[in-house]
Amino acid sequence: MRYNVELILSNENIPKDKNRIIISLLKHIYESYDKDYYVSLYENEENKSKSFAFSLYMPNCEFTREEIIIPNKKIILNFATADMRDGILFYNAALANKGKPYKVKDNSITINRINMNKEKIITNDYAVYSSMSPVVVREHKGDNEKTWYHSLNEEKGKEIFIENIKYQLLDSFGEERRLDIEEVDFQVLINKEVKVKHYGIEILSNICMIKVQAKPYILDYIYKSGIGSKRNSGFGMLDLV
Amino acid sequence: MGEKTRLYMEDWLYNSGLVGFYNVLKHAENDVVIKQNYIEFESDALVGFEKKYFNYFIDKYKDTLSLNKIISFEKFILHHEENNFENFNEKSLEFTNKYISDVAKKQIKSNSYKSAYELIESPVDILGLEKNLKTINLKKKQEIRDILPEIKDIFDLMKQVIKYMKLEESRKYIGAKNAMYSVIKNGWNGVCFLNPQTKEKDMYIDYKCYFIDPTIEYLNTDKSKFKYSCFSCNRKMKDFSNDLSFLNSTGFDVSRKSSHVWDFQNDIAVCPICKLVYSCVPAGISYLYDKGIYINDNSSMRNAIAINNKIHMGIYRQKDEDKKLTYKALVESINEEYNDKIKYELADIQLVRYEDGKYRFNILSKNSLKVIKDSEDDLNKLINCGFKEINTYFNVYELVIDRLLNSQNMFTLIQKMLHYKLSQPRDSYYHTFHITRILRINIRFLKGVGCMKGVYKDIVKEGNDAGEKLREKYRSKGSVDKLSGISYRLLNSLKTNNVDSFMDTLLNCYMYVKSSVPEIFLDTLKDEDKFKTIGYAFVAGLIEGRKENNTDNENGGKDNE
Repeated sequence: MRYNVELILSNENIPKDKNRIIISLLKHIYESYDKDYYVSLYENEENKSKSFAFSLYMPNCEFTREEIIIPNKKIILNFATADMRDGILFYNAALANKGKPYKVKDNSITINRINMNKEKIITNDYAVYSSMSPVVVREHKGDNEKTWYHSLNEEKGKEIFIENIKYQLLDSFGEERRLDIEEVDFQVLINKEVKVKHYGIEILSNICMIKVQAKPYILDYIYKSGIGSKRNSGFGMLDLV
Repeated sequence: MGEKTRLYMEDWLYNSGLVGFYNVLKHAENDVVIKQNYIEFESDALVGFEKKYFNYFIDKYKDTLSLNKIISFEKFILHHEENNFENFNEKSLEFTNKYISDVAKKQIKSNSYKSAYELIESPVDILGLEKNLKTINLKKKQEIRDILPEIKDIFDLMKQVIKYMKLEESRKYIGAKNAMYSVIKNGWNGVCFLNPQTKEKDMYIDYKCYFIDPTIEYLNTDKSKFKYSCFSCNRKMKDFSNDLSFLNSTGFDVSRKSSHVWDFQNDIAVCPICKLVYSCVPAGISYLYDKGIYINDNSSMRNAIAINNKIHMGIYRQKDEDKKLTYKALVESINEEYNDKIKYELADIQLVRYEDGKYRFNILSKNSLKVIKDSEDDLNKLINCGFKEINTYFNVYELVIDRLLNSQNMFTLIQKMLHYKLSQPRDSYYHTFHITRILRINIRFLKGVGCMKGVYKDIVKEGNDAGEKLREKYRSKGSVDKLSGISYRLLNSLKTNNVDSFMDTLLNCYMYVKSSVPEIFLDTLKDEDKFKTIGYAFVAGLIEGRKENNTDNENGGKDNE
């Protein structure tokens, strides 16, 4: 399920650490709509992996050193999820908060419009995706000291990326799909490294176009839930090319 | 004579014959001993059995025989004569005309009646009377009063006809003819009096010669030197002359199709006693027009007789309007059995139905019995529901019971009903609240087979309400017409079990009316059966919404919820 939500700002500049604001907004709407659901997503389990991904589109924006300036005060929030339930709850929560300004930093966000986008159906055993938000390749061994972000231009980065994908798929499809998951392979078609400010640190990430070979249902899942690390924080959302 | 013969229970068809045999003798007030798995009768009882046989049918199927339809008009005549035709209006005239053309003239002229006249000794020329019977037309400017003399003439004629029909002989022969063609024919055919080329015109004599005389002769002969044994009861017999091909959809023509038996040597034949019992099959199975029902309760003879007689009574006790339903009687007897505290007595018993010239079999499972019992209310509401498919009328009640007995769920039926409600509302005689009733029955059924665990809230109601509310919203936006297209799409998704496309359509609808998706739909994602139940309930609500006017539901009575 994919939605695009139009957000109206009261001020034309927002801090560069923009994902943080959106996460705050998401938490706010979930909490106000359905407390139980909010708790199950963000509080019950630390670092729970969630099934959705989002990205932002800011027309005609201008990046300055500390801030992003958006002249027409409009952000399009793209939201995608593979899980029906999450999709419906997102829609209901966003609808419930429609038109209510949410104060954040020196700005406020109002949800204006919610649209559902039609999803394409994947029938082939390969698909070409382009990233709607940067893809993160993170080497993470449970210790923040040793966490390292890789680029998809490097061999090491690709290795870790495929490892992460398989781990993600195994987690959601379970052991009985292991054979299908082992077969997953990918190529990077175009890649551009970027650095994104996220919770105070600069994260190396990739704006890329990749081709993935897998069973259609896996491709469909990747299409809907995003790829790479930090998917729920505004990274790794994909679109079909 | 005076010897006792025991007949043991065997397969279902033989059992139904035994029940019939018992019924015939009992009806004639002969003594028959019922034991655990056999009945015992004295050979004397076979004397005049042919009369007992036909008497049983003429009495038991009184209401359906055309002879009685003719006679029943007498009441109408007497009523008007007593009142001196004061209440005789155009409606009465119409009724009279309809009766004359559809019942009297049609039957009196029919071949089976004609052949019976030859057997009746009476000076009355019934066919001559028939020629004088004419319908009376009210000409323009004429009033009932003006044609009263004509009516009186016709009534006098009718009285003569009825007098003829009420003769003892008429009852004997015409009644027997009626019974032959409307009842007995359902059980067996092609031999004896049902053989079109039979030489003996009198069916009583024919029956006696064909079934009874051989039996009596057989009982009196020394069987010790016979080589063969009966296929059914294992009694010794002389030859293989009595095959089973006269029974409907049983047996085969031994001389022409010998490939059915091993080495092309037929060994399937019965003794004359069994043949006589088989000829009583129509008396054991309860028929309603061309449908029959028999419960093969073979644990005890007494139960078999009791339950089948209960069903027979159930069928003929029903009110005229739901006489089409053999199942109704079945359900009633099941419910009665339940009340008799022998709850599980009926469980796992074979149920045999005769439909479209074929026998169909079901096992009455404990589960389906329980569902039928628990759904009594819901089922009763469905009695008058039906739909037409091309030219055939289907009764929803029967379809639902059929599915319950076959342990099938109702989703395809509901799909079909909703589809017809959308595409040909003219031919679908039900409301969508009937569909919610079926959904409820279905939930009970699904719970019985171990699905839908942990469903405590009324998901049918919630789903249905959601549909109704959405319809309201569409109405207030002035776009109710969009709903039928949406319903088709939803039905398609439900049919193919496609949750994704169902939700897509659903979300689009809710976006269109700018409201949130009811929580009930979150439940649908977990379980296929829930998804279908809620989905269908939702579509049902969407199609019809809340009933606009409660008074206008001739199909199915009031829905008191």
